[in-house]
Amino acid sequence: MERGKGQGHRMDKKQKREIGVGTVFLAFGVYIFYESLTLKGKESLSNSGAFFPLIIASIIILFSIVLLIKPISQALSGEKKVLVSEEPTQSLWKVGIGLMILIAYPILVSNTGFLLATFFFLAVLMYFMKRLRSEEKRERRQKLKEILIILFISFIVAFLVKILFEDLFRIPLP
Amino acid sequence: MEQSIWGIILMGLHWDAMLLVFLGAVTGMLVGILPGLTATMGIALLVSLTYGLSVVNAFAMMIGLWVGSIFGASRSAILINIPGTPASIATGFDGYPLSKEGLAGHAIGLATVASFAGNLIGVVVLAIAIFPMLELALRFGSFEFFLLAFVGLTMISSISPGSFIKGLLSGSLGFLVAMIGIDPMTGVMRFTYGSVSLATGVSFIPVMIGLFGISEVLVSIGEKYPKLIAEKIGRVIPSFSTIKKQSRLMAETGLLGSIVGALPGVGGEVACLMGYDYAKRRVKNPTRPFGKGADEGIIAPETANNSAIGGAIIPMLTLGIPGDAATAVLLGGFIIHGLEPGPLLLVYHKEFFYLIIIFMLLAGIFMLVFGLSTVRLLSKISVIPEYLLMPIIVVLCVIGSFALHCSIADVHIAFAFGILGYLLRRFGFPLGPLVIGIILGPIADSNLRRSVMLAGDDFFLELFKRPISVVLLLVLILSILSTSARSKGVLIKVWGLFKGVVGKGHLKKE
Repeated sequence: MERGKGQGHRMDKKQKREIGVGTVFLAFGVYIFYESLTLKGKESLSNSGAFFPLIIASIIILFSIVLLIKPISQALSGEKKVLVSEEPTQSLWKVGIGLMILIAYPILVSNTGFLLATFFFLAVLMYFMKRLRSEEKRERRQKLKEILIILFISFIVAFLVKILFEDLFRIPLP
Repeated sequence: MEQSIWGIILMGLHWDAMLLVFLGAVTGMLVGILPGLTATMGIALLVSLTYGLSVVNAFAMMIGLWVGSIFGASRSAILINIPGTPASIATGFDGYPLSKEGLAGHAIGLATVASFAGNLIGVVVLAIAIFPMLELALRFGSFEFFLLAFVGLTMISSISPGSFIKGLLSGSLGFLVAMIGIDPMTGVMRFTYGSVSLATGVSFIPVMIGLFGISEVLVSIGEKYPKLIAEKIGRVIPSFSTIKKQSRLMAETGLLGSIVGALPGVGGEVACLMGYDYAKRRVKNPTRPFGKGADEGIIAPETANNSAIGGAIIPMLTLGIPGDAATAVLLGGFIIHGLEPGPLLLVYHKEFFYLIIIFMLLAGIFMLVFGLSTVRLLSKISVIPEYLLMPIIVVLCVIGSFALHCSIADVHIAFAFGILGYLLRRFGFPLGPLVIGIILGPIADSNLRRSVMLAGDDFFLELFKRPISVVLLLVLILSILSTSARSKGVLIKVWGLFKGVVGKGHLKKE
């Protein structure tokens, strides 16, 4: 009973998600259409830089409406099943933290230089991802060993990347 | 730059070009073996690292990488049931059951030989078809080019995972990204919002690196993959009698893969699935039942996906239309190295066609020898944990996007598109059409406006007066209609198979 209820609720969430995605695209299409109108100069519309963006904005508006029709009609008729993304379930908090680590990296590079920033970035992201993958609890000694290995690998990788790209391939590093 | 054929052969067989083909092929193979890294991502990263190389050497490396990554992708499909790239999605259907029985070596050996055969067939088809296709391409005017751009986008949208509408929306986004910067026809700034750095447009490589590299890392952070376990390898090199027995199937699926690969917007993954489907229909008495370790179930998809490379080069070189996302990135590489894709490329730089043939053959030979001799070593690479691999990918993404203009702004663009790519994938939007849209956007824009200018009020009349335009219009309509009639025919079966595999959540990559 509980399961069935949960399943129904999940479908509703998916419908809402599809409606949300469609609405975002519709709003985006309308915005681009409006922006494109400002691109038209004194020349005729077909010769102006606004012509193609206007067509694309119209296509986006049209298809986002098509995208919206199905979940809305299903929601109105009380039907639960809706075609949605097949992407496996993603943990938003993990992605959020991962994204923050990723964004911090170029900022760190600008402030501390490539080598140091890369070392810290690799160590933090590797540790974060390692902790995400392992379910079982570890002893303090094991954890310490894990951290030391990650620090060592991070140092070696950062150093090798610098030597390989800067000295060998002559590719400038940030 | 008109050169004699011998001069071109010598150029292609120069030691540094050969070394770079080898390096590219080995790197590509590693990219293919590692689950989570796609051929497209590998080429995008490598293109950014070839700025310092001559055009010939850069292409030696890129072609090597492309061939190598498709070649290597079968390894992880066989060993751990996760295809290294989507182009090997069907290889695991029969490869993995063999691997579980300790016959991974047999499966890898078959896949390697089949890949080599596919590479050869692809090269032959490319050599035969390119010049007739070029003749046709030279007759293309602005009407045909803008229609072709839409055909390419519609076709990739129709075969991409997820809904057709989402594919088209993704492609439209790509078109818009391509519009950023100064309009070459009127000089008007489009969607730059006063930013000087956007005046020249968004650089293609950081966009690709973001879409395929950074987004992949984000997907990897957010999900759990099954535990990776190294399998027993066993005998590797297949017997001569086995190869002889399967030679007809190789020839047939190789031809099929080349034709499928040559269709604009259709890539290796469709060729792979169609090859598998063909083998299932054609072979009445497989070595084992399909899905339980049939040799034919490994040979057919591997021959088809490798021969699709040769096929995909045909529209890329003659029309400047990429076959799939990987070809689109390769086209970006052409542009970076100062070559304008399209029919005139082959007219003025015929040597590149011969060089591509030489590099493809070299890469195939290297892969056959290297692939068969290092099975045990390379099998261990596919079990490198993601927590070590993905952070290194981010570092490479940063280096690759920065190296283009030595600008940290490009790194920010890569991250921005990485987030966009992640969000699109999360909501079921395929990335392939987006990439194709970025490449085809300028072609569609300039040719559509030119056509309207030329024809004036008689635009539609003119469109129907031109035979090639009519054919392209029919293809466009058919590709749209095919999406609403998926429950019938071969296409539907392939699509269902594809969706079934991706839906299981093993892998969903661009």
